[in-house]
Amino acid sequence: MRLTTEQIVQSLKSADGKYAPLMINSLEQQVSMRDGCQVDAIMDCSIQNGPSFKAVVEIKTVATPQNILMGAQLLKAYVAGDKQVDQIPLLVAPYIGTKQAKILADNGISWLDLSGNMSIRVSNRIYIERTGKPNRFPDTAPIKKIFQGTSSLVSRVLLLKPKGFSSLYEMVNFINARNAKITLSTVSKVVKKLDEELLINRDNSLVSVADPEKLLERLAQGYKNSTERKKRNTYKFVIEGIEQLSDGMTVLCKDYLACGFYAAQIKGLAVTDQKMIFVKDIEQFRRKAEKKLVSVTPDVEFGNFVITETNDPGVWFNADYQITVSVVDDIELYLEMTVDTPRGPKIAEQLKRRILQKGNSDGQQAN
Amino acid sequence: MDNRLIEQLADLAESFDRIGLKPVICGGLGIYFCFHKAEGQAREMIQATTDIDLMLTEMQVLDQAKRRAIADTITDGLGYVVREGCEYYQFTKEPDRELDILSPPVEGLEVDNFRVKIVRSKLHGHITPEACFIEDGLRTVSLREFLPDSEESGGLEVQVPSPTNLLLLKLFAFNDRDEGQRLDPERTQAHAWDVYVTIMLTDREDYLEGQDFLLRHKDSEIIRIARSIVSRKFNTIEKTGWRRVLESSDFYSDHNRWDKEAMLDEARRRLIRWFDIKPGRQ
Repeated sequence: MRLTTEQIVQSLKSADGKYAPLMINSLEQQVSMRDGCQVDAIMDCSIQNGPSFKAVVEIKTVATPQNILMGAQLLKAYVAGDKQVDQIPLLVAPYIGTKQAKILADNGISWLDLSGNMSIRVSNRIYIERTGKPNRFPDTAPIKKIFQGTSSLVSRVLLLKPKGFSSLYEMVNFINARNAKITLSTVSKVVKKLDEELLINRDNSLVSVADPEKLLERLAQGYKNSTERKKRNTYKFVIEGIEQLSDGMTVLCKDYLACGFYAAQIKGLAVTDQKMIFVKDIEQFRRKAEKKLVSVTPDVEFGNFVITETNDPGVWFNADYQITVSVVDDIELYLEMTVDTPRGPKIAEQLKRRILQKGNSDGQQAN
Repeated sequence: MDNRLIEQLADLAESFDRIGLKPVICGGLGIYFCFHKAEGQAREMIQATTDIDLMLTEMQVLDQAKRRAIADTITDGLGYVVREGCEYYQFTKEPDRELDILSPPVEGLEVDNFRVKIVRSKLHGHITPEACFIEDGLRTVSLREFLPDSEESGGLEVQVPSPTNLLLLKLFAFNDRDEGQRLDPERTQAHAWDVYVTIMLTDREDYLEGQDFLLRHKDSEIIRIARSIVSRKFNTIEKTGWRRVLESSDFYSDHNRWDKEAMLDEARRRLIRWFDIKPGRQ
């Protein structure tokens, strides 16, 4: 349920003790300040049986970190040079989460949400902090899973090329040149969302990652929660002579990708006797293998290969294709290792350092 | 694994090395060494052990001079003393070091009261008929990586039974304690646990090696009995073998029963496949 500014104003006007001990005595909308700028509202407030104060109010219907930061900066500008000790800048939104509350605290802005949370400081006279009440106005607009599936490719390329992209077209081309398929519309939506989350720097000529480590963490969170990953099935097969699948000395092997600890071993990060591969379609993989006289036989108990069937674009994107064994790229392997306890997280740490260090201007990760 | 136990083993290996032998280690320590490179989750489940089960193989004790050399090494060289009441097949040494001697039946050596008399009044072995193929597929393990700080451990080696032999030993040990006068639920639980860990740590190469082993000895009574134990006691997860594992509070304590049964079923399928038990055969 997304509220309008007017609905928020009405809710404040009819609060009727809802924010006790804070009382909203009156609210005047669209008030012009002395310097000519217009604020959303001025509220006359007081503490029950206590002192009163005025609040210069900025209302945000959607409290993304970016909106909150902008609102905080506006409020700071409104009250700059204001010597009135009983007047405070106050941001109001349907719900203000922890991250947003921190942004406001860092900027010295008081806040109040319609879910019943608030942090209000009036010089040294009044301090109210009430947090922990759940969001009564969850946004019902579909949440874009920007760190999963095709959408995740945008964050991945921003990590691959931390210097940034001069246009969204460049980003689309960069992704599509690396064994993936993404549209300008998807890139545009994801970039907008990343911008709102303050994860990227964006100006007219450049889109680049703001904090690579944070972005990688968000990707890992998305990977952990991915329903596609959770519903993947793995099968054990006996495969003898898988290297015969290679087409010779020049053609890259694109039938399967080494993953998990097998990929970590190929990348020199682990030692393992487990062989795990991704294929897009097991039956097609078997047919192709059998044509080359490579037998692929199901063996649940003692198979020497664990095969996972997936079309997840993140898996196949930017893979390190080789003539013999091709492997997933460092970012995909990092994500796999973060959830492969107990040994995986240690390898993930090594990969993390590598990813954050090796993203370079042409974006090709050294796998 | 307790470092003191590994040091005790290194002393044993060093002394055996002087008489041209490698000690063959069974029990929990044998499982630990056999699968020291395995990666399965069950690796963390290998039970800690406090004693060394030393199997004296037929080849090691056929020759009288070798038998005496082994006895002298254990008692005089290493200073083990016989445990009272378990004369000549269980030894101790201060502080808290234990050594149990096992032996398959060896032609020409007297067997009396479950003991193979290797050197009369000095060294016996607890008779272990199921170890009759113990020399088949022995694996050699260097102690170097277990005692990285010890210079002496560099060239020292021990031997451990193949996975099939480990399974045979554990299946018979389980059966021995699961019925009759020697019934002991606590010991059966420990043996069933070892069966679970062993079968879960095997890989395809172990399996193929095991199939060759079983084919070579397909007419053996020992293999027939082992198959019968698997059929009667490990054929479904309702059977005592797997139930004993399930009863253990340490078995995947953070998982629910459904998950635990699924894990046991995986072990069950591997075990009945290993011993070629047909579905429904009891």
